[in-house]
Amino acid sequence: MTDHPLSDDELLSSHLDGELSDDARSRLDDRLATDAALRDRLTALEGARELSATPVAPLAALDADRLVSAALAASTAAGTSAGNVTDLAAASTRGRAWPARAATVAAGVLLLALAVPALRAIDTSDDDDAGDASADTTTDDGGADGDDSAGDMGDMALESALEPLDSDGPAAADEMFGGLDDADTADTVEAGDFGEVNETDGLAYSTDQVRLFVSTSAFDPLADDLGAFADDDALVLEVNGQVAAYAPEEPPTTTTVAAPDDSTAFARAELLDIAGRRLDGILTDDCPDVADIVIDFFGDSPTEVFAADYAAATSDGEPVVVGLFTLREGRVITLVIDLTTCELRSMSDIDDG
Amino acid sequence: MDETTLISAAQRGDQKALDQLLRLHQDRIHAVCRRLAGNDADAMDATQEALIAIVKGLPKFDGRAKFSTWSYRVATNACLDELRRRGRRPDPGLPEFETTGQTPVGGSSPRDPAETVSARLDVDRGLAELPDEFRAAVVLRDVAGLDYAEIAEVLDIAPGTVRSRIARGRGRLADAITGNQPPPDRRQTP
Repeated sequence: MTDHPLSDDELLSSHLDGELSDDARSRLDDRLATDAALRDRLTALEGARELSATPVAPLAALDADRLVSAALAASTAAGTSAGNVTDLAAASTRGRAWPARAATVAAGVLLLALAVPALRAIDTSDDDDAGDASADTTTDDGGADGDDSAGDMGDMALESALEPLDSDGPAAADEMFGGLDDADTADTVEAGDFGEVNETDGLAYSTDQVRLFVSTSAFDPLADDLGAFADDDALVLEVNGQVAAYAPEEPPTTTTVAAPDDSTAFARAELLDIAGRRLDGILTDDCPDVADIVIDFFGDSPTEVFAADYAAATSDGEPVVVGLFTLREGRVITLVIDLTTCELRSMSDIDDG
Repeated sequence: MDETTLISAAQRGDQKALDQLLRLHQDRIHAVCRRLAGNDADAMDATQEALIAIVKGLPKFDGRAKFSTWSYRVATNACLDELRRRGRRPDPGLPEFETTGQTPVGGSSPRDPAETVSARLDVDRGLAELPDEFRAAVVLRDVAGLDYAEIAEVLDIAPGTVRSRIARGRGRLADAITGNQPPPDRRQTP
């Protein structure tokens, strides 16, 4: 029960929902019998309830299939071990009529898993502004209840749904790059350009959104030509091995940049640029634009990519390009692109191993 | 296979069971996300995030709460979090003619507009004006059909707070429908 007198709206709304005690309902009925304004308000609230209860059309069968398929793919991605490759061709069979969307969903599957811990790192940093910015919910009403659970909701989602992904944090990236000290980031970030800068775990983030793209020009763990492999699993195993063995003599040169107006476009341009440099001489006439496939894969979140490398290989007798991408919080994913069909044929998350 | 068996199988990694479990619940989760998001495109993305969050969180589901309540909690948080990550308020799209039975200007109207409140105010535009916490409570009540105790569990707030948020959310919608200025928050005199 409540410990304060209910407002008329609370009484009336609770009445509509059958959430009043018998005594309270009886008292309200007495008032309604003699108070025309109260009756009008009840009618208005009933109209509001009718409006908010407007039915939502059920999902179309195709959309339902795609949503479930992507969620299942996420399940697979989360449970993969090293060398466990998600066959995108099979997984997206039902979604071929919607290729752009499927690519976005596929990216979302992976990027949700990969990006949220980074967001969490911001939320839990010492810089309170960072957490506020990430989970900011504007309310125009302080509210009689005075709670702050709106901000808690994001935390609840992370706690309840994604905690298993939080075990690694940025360690993998630190290990791979030998760690990035503050100078690598702070020296190149102009806070005033895009909001307050939050530095967490050696990486820099904007507190407005995650809007930094950090490219490492010297990131080159893969041999230019990886050779021939029986299948993508074997190929990814080799990629894993080369990544694990990657130990540059000097930390890679880092260039931290921010594009306050359109960081997504900037990150896409960076991905194109890296692909252009690394894939020179590898691409075929059948598939001249591998970078476009990669960019489609990352969809709306190319800013999550920390560094990229490419290599040529043959898998199951088909020429392929392997794209290796480190994500901001340390996860590393591998994309295998078929140069004959010019389609993304598999993806894997080697950090899960 | 009943739901409890499905859940157990899905938790053990049975992909078919997980598939079936998601299909059992995705329409109602989409309905909540649709009303929270305010338009079809964002709702699809939010639903996607919600389903993924459910998949990721399933190993932690211990059966103490009803699965539907737990999944609403995960889905609501995931939807709101997705919208926050996009840094924007719900963006109402075109009026929802298809679900209200109305047709756009120029088409024949199968229902008398005067019969439905929806004719006077688009549901998405109305809900978009509500703060997240009010909108979530209203949607969980009026779309998901949860009672106040269940909403309290989903949102992790007191039942009295649920009552307050629903009333205030509906109050604002009512004022928008009637074109009234919001009345003072009158307390009933003892």
